[in-house]
Amino acid sequence: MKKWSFIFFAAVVGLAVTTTGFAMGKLPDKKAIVLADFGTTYLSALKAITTIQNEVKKDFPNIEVRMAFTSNIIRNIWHKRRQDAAFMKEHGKNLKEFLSIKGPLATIADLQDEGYRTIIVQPCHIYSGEEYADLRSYVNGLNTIHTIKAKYMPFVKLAIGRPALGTYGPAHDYHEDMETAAKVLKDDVALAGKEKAALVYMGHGNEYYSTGIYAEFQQVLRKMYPGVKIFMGTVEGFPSLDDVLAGLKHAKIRKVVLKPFMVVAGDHANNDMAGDDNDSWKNQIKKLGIRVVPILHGLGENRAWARIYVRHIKDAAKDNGIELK
Amino acid sequence: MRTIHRTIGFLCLFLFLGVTAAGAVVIVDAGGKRVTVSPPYHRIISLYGAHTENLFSLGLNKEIIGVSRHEAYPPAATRKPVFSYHEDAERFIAARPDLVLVRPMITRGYPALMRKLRAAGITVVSLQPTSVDGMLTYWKTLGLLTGRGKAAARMIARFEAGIARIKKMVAGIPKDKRKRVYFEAIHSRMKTFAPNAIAMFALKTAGGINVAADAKAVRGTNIAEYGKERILSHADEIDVFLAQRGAMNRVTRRKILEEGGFKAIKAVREGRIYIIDEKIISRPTLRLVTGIYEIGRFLYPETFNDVSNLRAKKLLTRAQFAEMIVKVTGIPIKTPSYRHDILKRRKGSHCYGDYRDVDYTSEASAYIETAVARGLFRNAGGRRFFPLKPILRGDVAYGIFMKFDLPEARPVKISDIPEDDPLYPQAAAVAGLGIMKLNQGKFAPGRVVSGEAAYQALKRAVAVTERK
Repeated sequence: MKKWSFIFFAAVVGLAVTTTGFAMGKLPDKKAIVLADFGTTYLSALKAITTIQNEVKKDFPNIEVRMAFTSNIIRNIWHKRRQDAAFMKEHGKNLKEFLSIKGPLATIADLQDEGYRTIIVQPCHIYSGEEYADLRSYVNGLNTIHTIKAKYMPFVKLAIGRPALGTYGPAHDYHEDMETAAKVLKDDVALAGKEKAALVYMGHGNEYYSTGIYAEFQQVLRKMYPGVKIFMGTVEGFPSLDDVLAGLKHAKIRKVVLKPFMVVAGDHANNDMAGDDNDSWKNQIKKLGIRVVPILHGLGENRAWARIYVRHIKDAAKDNGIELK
Repeated sequence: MRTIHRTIGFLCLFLFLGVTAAGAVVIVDAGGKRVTVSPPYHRIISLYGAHTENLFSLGLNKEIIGVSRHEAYPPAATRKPVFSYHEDAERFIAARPDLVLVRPMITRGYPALMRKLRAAGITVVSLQPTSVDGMLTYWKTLGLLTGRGKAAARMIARFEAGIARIKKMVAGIPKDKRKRVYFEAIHSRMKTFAPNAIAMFALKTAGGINVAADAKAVRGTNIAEYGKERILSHADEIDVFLAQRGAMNRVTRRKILEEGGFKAIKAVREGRIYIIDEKIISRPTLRLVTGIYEIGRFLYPETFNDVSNLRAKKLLTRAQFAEMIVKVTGIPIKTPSYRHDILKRRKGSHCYGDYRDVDYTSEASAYIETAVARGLFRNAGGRRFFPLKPILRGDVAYGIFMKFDLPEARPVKISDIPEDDPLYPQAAAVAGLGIMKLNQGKFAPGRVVSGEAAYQALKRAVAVTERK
């Protein structure tokens, strides 16, 4: 993938250079937003992505908003669907945008080619982990382009928004981002309260980065909602399922509402979390004599969660002096 | 020079032509190549999972000195050194095999490796039957190569007995109740199996009617092109949508449910979508019988999941309870995944087939492994399962709590289970819902259970969960 990323990068650079090299007169400057997500092929999980998309479009009706999927496999599956007559008949109209979905680099390059030179890339990520670091690296890479003549710069501004739980640096205090995100989850907490259950979130995590933010966010939630016991774990990293199990035992929990702390409820939610195998989160929790109510909805399906990304787009615009009108 | 002419059963792929030297036999392998072999061989490397499985079925173990990369069955195969056709011939030669078993895909793709192995004096035989008759001949060939002719005959007898048993069960199903099935081989390309493929034999034997009988095989393989349009042309006829799952077809139920246009298919609308491991329906091994039985369970659960024999047991064993819960609740049989999946499991947790007190070739083993993989047994993580010990009330309560997502129960107090034991809330949920009874506040978790009592508890659990 790295190799292809490089080729793509080279292609974008090449494209940008060609565009500027042959540009006559002043380049146009239109504005666009790119929403970048890992992606999904499941139509039932797509709601999480379209909810975010719709919220963003609602706030920026005059700005071009494009979706980009970072997963090559998922993009390929969508592209193949264009040859599928039955699929096209059923979904061709509604899902047109996804049928030709591209990765973030190609999406940015397309926009630039079409005269969009002020672009905000907003990741639909949870926290500043590996995927966000990679996306940021793409954007930083493109921002190193410096043409001889300033007027031929491919981008007027190419900015990146921060993930839901924020990122490093003093510009936006990530503690405040966590407070906002915690507030948004009030319905999940209320559901657990109604069920007289603890709330267990299963995050994705990462094995190449510290995932301490999940533990920190767990504390934020516990402080904000003292009436419900809340546990946060990750598929990869810390806190692990074992940590969650230890917590549940320690707190003598008898029932939990189990929900993915992921934007999309895809394979992880269906298999790792609520699957039938002995090692699924659901069964490992049930082994302790705890009843489990699994909820198979991604965070993105929650409009209030989607609004977080809208706010982060607005912040990125403000920080970069971009007027989104 | 003594000339022996051996004819091996049906004349299919492996035709024995004659003997050129003492004990040496000339055979024609699956690639049409004449190979002079001097059985029996004692140091064998198998580069195909089915060969390995069959060698073990012939009773070999120490003779198998190497297997291919992903092999996970039988359990002993996971402990064998791994060889790959991507590697240099030197690694093979250094292991001093006298026989390397391959299949046509390998001989076609890696001719240089084949040449080097032969040049080093190693016998290379390529085998892969594509029909059931061919499979029986192939087992005999393996028997001949390894000096296990009698064991091969026993394998065939065992296979035939299994098939006869299933045929008898199917015979009781009226012709007009037979299910029409679309059997998917490769989802992304909408391919099915060729009508004479082993998988289609499995479907037919289990009493299924192939709706894609007009499919034509692709270049002599067992796969056949079909296409979405043709599948949809049978939309209203398809009672059951069956798909093989394996390296070639990483399909899920959800994928099939959400496939564009598939809502038109009767089976999809009614949720009758079943996934089966390719290793038990496409491979020429004894597990094909398990695969056929499994298809039977999907198509005719009343017949194939019948547990009347277990209900009659005055005292149900742990092995019998495993079979009962798997059958009554319709859990698909567990098959071991690939070697890397098994090895990556947490140390100390049970791996498929490693119970010392359960014969992995037994029918009971499949049910035990399935129930354990679903987490339906307490403390099943060790190397012993104790299949013949009686199942206890506590075990039944645990199994039911794990299998079902039980609704809210009436609170009950149990006096004979410590409150800090995880079994307390599990038994309380089961008792509170009336699935199992308390006797004056006592659950009696250590008491044995009759077949009928366990069956009734399971039925009540199904009813309670469905009501929810």
